[in-house]
Order: sequence, then structure tokens, then C-alpha cells
Amino acid sequence: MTDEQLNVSDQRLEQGEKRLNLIGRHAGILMQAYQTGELDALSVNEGILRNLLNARIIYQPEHGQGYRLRAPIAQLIANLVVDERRRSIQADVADKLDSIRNQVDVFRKAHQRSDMYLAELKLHIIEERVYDLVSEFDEAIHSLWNRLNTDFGFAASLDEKMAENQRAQNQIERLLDGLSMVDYEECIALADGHVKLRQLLVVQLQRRTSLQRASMLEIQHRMIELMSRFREQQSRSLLVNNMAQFLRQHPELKVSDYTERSEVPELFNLARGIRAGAHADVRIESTQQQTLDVLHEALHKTRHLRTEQTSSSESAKAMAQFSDAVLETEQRQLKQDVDEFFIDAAQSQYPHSALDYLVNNELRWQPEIWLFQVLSEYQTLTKSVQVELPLQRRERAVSKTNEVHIIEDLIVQPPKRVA
Amino acid sequence: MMTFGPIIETLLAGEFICSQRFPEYHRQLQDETLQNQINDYLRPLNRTVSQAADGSVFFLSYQTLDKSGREHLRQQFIQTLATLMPLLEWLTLTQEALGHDSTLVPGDTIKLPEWVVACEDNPSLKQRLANLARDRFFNSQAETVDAQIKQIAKRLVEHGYFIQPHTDRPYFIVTGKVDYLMDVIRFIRDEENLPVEETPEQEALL
Repeated sequence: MTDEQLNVSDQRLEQGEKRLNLIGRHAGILMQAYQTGELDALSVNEGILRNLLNARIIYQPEHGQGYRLRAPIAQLIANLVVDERRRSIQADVADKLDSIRNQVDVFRKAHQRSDMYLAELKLHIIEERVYDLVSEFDEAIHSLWNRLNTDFGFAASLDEKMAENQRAQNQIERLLDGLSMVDYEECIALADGHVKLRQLLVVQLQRRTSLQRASMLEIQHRMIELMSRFREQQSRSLLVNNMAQFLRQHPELKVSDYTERSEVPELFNLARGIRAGAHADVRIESTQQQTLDVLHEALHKTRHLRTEQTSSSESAKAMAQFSDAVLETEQRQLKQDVDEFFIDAAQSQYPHSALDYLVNNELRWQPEIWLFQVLSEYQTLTKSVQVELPLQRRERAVSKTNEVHIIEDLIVQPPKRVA
Repeated sequence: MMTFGPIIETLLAGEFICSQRFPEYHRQLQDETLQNQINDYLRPLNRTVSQAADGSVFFLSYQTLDKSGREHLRQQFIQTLATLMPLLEWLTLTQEALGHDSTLVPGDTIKLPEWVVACEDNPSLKQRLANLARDRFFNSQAETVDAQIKQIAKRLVEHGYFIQPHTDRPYFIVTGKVDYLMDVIRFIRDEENLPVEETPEQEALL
């Protein structure tokens, strides 16, 4: 039993080895097939074709048609080529670094021989090579930032954006691999003792590439973040579209009432709103001027005071100049007293006169100021409260020749109660 | 001096605090110490700060539930369910009409004229818009695309899904409340075991 198994696996090993060899022997024509999509049957003899067919490397979709690579082989090559490309960036960097090393070597020798002409020439070449190397990375970084900043705007769909993002991330990895080949210690050693070389290899090459590396890591970080945002968007869209579709198909869906549970889920525990009554607060220094402006604007709207426009704006100035501390306590007390007046009026069963209230409660306010405040506080009440608490003005015409009226008193009607 | 008075007032009024509508409050609420302070203050009012969608929105919940609180939540839940379909339809419709990659997210800008043009040019979208506008939630009797869209936007502002930065300019910004909506959808899906997927792999299998 075991022997048999061993034999079988030995056979497999042998067969695999043969077939891999077959791929190697015909690498040229297989690569040509990979590139053009079809094997050039004329360039190989029948025996080879048969071997390749038997080895499941190529196949003929239909009689009379050309031979193609089987999918796994094509994929294998694709993978290998990507690797090759990856290596090629590194090889490119390695090549440029090698060239720099050689040029430095020749430069030093020329320098020693005092062959200034050659030394100068080599220095120019080194400069060029360093520039090439650095600018290649610069370009790649620029292009990556650009893609990042436009959110891959050039891609038509979210899927495409995600694929582009993945490609960019692969590119970053290859670039980072390439950058890691620049050996800083070697740069310093190469530049040893020569100002211009130091300028090129340490200042230019080393510093620039270390900045580029930092920049690339930042891009990588942002790419990953962007990718997770794309994923989130994707899942959100699917959720919304699928849920909408499901509900359309199941309009009769009964959802259990989560609010009946002993522990209502936080998501559905939305407390009823409480509206806090608010009044303009003259104590707040920063908004004092605003409060006064609003107050006067409100007063302008009342017909009776329209003619006193000038004096009221003068009084605004006077009030603004008023000592802050005094204003603060006075206004606060006045407002509180007016509030109490309204509460009193709302709780009573009879109409309340503002002036009577002032006298009865022995409040120290001047009648005009008192009426003024009652009126302005009334304006700050909500419409619904105003309806509940109608305010009447007891007015007196100043003269027969104009429309000026003076408010003598304000009467607040208590709310009508249902017996 | 209480520096978080305005936050409390906003929360108490039943508002959702997100970074689009109340950026400053939203930032402040990230601080757990402040949240605790606010909760201490709210305890006598039987309220506590809750959050949804990984802190994208904050709102107030009842701390303990009495009969009237529960009744309030029940009513609200019924309303939430009734608004679910029109809101989903709104999201899918705008995504299609505006040719967006994905459904609306907080911070997205919606320009009404663009939306109007897209719906007017496409009979199928126009029909869907008309149906949506007639839904009880949006409650529009308007005949024109323009008026229907205006009414939808107005209702979305009232319900906190949109803000309009300038009242005289016809563009709106989507608020964090759509994140809350996503949480609600996911919750219902999970609780009711609805076959509603949100990952592409699983969708491919369906």
C-alpha cells in the first residue's frame, strides 16, 4: 500500500520535473505566445507541439484554430513578470548606484593623477546620475500625490477606484524597496574628503531620498486610509440598495417593537425634547450691545414709540455706557420682577395691571422703566404664550394733531380656564 | 461658570449633535470627562448622553423608563419605521440621479439645481421622484420636479438630515444623522435576520 503510494508520488515528481523542463526549453516561444495571445505554430515542429499539449501547457480551443497558453501558465507568467518589473525598479536603482560608484572611482583616480579635465567630466556625470535617480522618485511621488488628492477622480466607478488604489499601493512598495537600496553609510564613505562629492552624495542623494522615503510612507498611510473609506462607501451603498430592494419586495414586513423590551436599545431611546425658556441676558458683556439693538428694534416695531426713535437710540448709547456692574444687577433684578409679574398674572383669575402690581409689591422701579420692561419681556414670550396671556395697552393720545400715544398702563389678562 | 450650557440646551431640545450641524459641540463631546459632567447635570432630568455610529452623532436618551417615556419611544419607533422606506428611496434616488459612486455620507453637498436637472432629463427618475415626493413623510402635492425636490429638501432639513448653510442659496449639506440611519438599518437587519448584505463578496454569491 505504502510502496504503491510512494511509486505514484515518485512518478508525479518525475513528471512535474519533465514538464517544468519543457517550459524552460521552450521559454522563448511560450513568452511569444503570452505576448501575442497565440503560439506561432510554424516556428515549432509537431513533436514539440504534441509535448506541450500533452503536458497541459498549451491547448487548441477548436480544430483549425491557433494554440493558446492554458490559463494557469499565463497566470504564472503574469506573476513572474510583475516580479520582474518589481526587480527592474530595483535593478534600475542598483544600476544607477553602481554607475555612481564607478564614476566616483574614476573621478578619484583622475583627481589623484591631477587630470582635472577628466575629473571635472566625471563629476558632471555623477551629478547627472544623482539627478536622474532622485527625479525618478520625485516624479513617482508627484504622480501618487496627485492620484491621492483627486481621490482617484479619473476612475469611473468605486470598484475601479479601489483597483487603482491597490495598484498604487503596490507601486509604493516597489518604490520603497528601490529607495532602501540607497545605502547612506556608503554615500558618506564615497564622498569622503571631497566637498563637491559630499554635496552631491550626502546633501542631494541621501537627504533627498530620506525625504522621499518619508513622503512615500505618508502616501502609503493615506492610501490605506482612503482604501478603507472606499470599502466603507461600498458597503454602505450595498446596504442601502439591498435594504431598499428588500423592503420594496416585502412591504408587509413586520418588525418587532424594540421599545417593549426591558432594555430598550440605545439607538431607539431618543428622549423627548425639552425646550428651555430663554430670555435675552444683558449680563453677558459680549452680547450686550446686540441685546440692546434687538431690544430697540423690537420697540421700533411698536407703533407708539416710532416717533421717539431718536431718544431711544440715544438712550441705547447711554445704557451702553452705563457702568457694567450696576447694569448687570439692576437689569437682572428688573427682569426677575417682570418674570414674577407674568407668573402672578398667569396664575390669577383677574386681569393684572402692571402699574398696580408695581405699587402693591412696593417695587422700586420707575413706572416708565417698569412698563418698558414688561413690554419688552412680553415680546420675548412665544406666540402660543402670548395668545394665552393677552396684553392690553391703556393709552393716551398726546395731542390731537399727531398720532403719538403714551402708554399709561399695561393690563395682562389671565388665561381662560376650562371649568 | 458652565462652559457646556449651550451643549446641554441643544441636547435637551432633542437635537442630534454631529460635526456638520454643531461642529464645536461635537468636538467637545469627544471628551469623556465632559460627557460625564453633562450626565451628572442631566441625571435629575432623567436623561443621559447616547451616541451612535461610532460617535458620529450624540443625542439624549432616557436614563430610566417610566410609562410615558416608553409610550413616547413607541410612538417614535413607529414613526422611524414609517420613514425608513422614503429615506432609503431618497438615498438611492440621489445616488442614481447625481451619478455618485456611493450613497450619501455626512458632509456631502447636494446642489438642488443639479438634482432637478438630472430628474427632469430622465423619465424613470422623474417618476420615482414624483412617487417619493407624494410619500406621507415628504407630503408634497406639487406637480413640478423643482417644487417636489424643494419640498423633499425642506423636510430633510426639518428632520435634521440636511443643513442649508445659506438660506438664499440652493445647496444643502448632509449631516451625521444619515450615519444614525445606517445604524438603524443595520440594527433592524440583524434583529430580524433580513438577508440584506453589505459586503461585495457575499453579494456575488447571491
